[in-house]
Amino acid sequence: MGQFIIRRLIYSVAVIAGVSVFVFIITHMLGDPARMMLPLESTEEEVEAFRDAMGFNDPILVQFWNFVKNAVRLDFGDSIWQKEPAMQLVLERLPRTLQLVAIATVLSLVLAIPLGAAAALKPRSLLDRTCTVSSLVGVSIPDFWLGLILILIFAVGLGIFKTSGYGGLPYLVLPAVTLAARSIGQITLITRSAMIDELNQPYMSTARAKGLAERTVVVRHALRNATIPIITLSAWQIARMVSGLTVAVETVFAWPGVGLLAIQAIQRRDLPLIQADVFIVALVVVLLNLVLDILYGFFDPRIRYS
Amino acid sequence: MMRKFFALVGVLVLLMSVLAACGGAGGAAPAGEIVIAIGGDPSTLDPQSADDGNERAVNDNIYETLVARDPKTMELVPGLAESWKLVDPTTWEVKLRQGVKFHNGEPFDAEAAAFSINRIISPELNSQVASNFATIKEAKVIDANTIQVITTGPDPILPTRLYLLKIVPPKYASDPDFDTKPVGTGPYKFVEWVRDDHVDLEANTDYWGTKPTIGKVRIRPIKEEVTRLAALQAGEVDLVRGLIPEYVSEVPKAVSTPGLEFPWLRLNTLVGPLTDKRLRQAINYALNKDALAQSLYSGYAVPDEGQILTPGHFGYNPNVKAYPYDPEKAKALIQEAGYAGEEIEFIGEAGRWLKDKELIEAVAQQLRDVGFNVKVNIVEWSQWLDLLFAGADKAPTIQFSAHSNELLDADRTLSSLFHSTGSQTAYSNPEFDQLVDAARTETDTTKRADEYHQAVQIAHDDAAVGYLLNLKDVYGMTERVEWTPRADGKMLVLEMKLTE
Repeated sequence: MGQFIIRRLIYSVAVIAGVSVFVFIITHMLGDPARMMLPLESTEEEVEAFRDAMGFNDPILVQFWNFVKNAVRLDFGDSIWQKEPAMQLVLERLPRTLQLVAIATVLSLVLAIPLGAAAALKPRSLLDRTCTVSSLVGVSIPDFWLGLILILIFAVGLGIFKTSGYGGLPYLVLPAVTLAARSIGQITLITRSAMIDELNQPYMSTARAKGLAERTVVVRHALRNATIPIITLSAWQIARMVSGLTVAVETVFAWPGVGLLAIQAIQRRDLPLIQADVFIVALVVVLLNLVLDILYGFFDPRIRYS
Repeated sequence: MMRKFFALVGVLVLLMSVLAACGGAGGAAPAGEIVIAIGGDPSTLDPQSADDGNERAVNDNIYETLVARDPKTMELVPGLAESWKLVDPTTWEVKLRQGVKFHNGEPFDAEAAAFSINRIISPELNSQVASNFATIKEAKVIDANTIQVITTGPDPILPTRLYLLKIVPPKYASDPDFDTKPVGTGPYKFVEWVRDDHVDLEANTDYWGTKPTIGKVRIRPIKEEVTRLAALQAGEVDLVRGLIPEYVSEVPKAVSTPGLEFPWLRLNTLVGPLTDKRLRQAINYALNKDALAQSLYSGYAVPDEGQILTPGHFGYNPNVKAYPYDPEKAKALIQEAGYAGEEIEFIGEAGRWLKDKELIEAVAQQLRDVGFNVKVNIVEWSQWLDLLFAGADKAPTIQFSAHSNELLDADRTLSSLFHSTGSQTAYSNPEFDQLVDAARTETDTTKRADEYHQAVQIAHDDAAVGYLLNLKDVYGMTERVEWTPRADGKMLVLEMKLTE
């Protein structure tokens, strides 16, 4: 187990390093970064002074070496846009994004697993069909659009929630639901199909023949065995939320998290901020994978780490 | 569970409306809170270092300038300065208002004024707006209430420049908190800034001028336009900037003012087919500016009067008028020039400015209608920038861009878009250059205006660029706000009123 974790950690570091190098390359090689960061009206002298100050005039390998040297100390430099250390700006916002993702995840699991299981117990029933159809809707609806529609109905129309901003429940519900919509749909569908598989296994008859209560049969035996695909999918959904979906949702709801920061950093071509943002997001996703690998063993002792 | 939750929400809403209703009373003391939505978070709250409209939306209420502008006429009027005069060609003397204090108690005096001017031009600050003050050599304290500003050469528009220079407290300005916790002399005091969420201000009851009537101000960055609109409709915010013209009918109240933004076409007059003046004139005659303003901007735009300047800019030539829409004349000019249908490359970008892509497509179609073989190419932003600054030998035949001159003086527009050494220029006319060079150091205001009038006329007759539109600034408001927007785009809460 210990060895396994060490191996995974080495692998994680390699992934993060790879992602950071990739971001360095695309941000430095495409176009003139100085012109992109400065206002259109800037004169050539101002642009040249800025290039000097930022080190853009150094050979690209020197720039790359400086980047690597600082990155290993988690120092990506000051944000050009907000003039504070880029890493600090990202870390300031990370808890708010994680809060949103955590609530969306809990919401997904609490809704999707019982729904999927119930649908699996009575295939082709009205409940099953309703679940399947609404899951498909959840999966295929564009998040950006869903967010705006929810705002128009529940904030502007009914006035129950707030349209935008950061705060308690009135601010939290709509972005969390928007963020969760797709994963609710997907987790419901996978739970349903995994449960149907398990319920048709011969060991189910054995369990029932032993005289176990139906509830125990379904929850202890079928659902437990169906958890592996559910966990895999959920982890993937969380990673997807952290690494991209929050950009759209936080923009629509003006939720001051890492995603909203990322889109602003990209629009302003704020290289240090983009690099710090991508680094942290990659770190979260890699850690998530690590936790997932450990969870596998916990839920299914048949999986060995050697 | 769910029912309890909704009951809770109901109680909360009720509670909040009761609290809100209590806010209104209170005679002369500043009362009530106004919430203003802007497009993004300020980059910094140091009023001198960034070129950032979001920063200005906050700091215009906290800081003041020596020279102000009349809200209606945009004429220069006294601000923190009582008067100013030219004492010799390179020296402006400024008399300061007395008895003004910064929010932290520091006195506003000659030392503070001189410090602020010397700070913004200092290489250590490395300000993004330093180019506005490139003509200033130094500011000197003469006595407690007088300073002199020394310029590198004659600078006739120094007072105009001072309108962009906010006065900062000399002691506190070196504090590390200065760029996040601003302290000025203005009608509103800083309370807190939660990045990407809000900036809170409160009325400065010791303000030296007209006392503020609104007690509290919250400025919220809401990036997405539809969300801004929704927040206004839900009454969560009272005033939004940058309302899209289509949404005007959706909001309780909308107001507009002529803005500073000009979409325009950079024509390559030095290389390629448009070296022929007749073809450039044909382009200008082919553009139906009124139709573009109506169909794309719901009327919240006016034709550019052939100069990329507003009547508020010093140097605006009232005698120059927009090229009329005259497709027949355009066709005749094209024929006269012997244009044989060579492909004309039209470079544009998408998403940077309001309706830019739609405008580019519509313009291209109007050019095709008179016989130009236009090929539109929408390129990625970095590529678009490279082309804009590449110089005439690489410049595309036509490139779409937008220009905004906040200095309100013709110099910046004429020298960066038309002067042969300008960074975005693909035009060269020695006579034009000479006039602009002379005007830059001309201290006689009448002569200077006259030089700009001539320069504007020359560029217009040469059809040096494709003149398009001047967009209006549109604001949405709730019923309870009373405010007339300013042509310089400043949102001064001091000039706003809440009616309930």
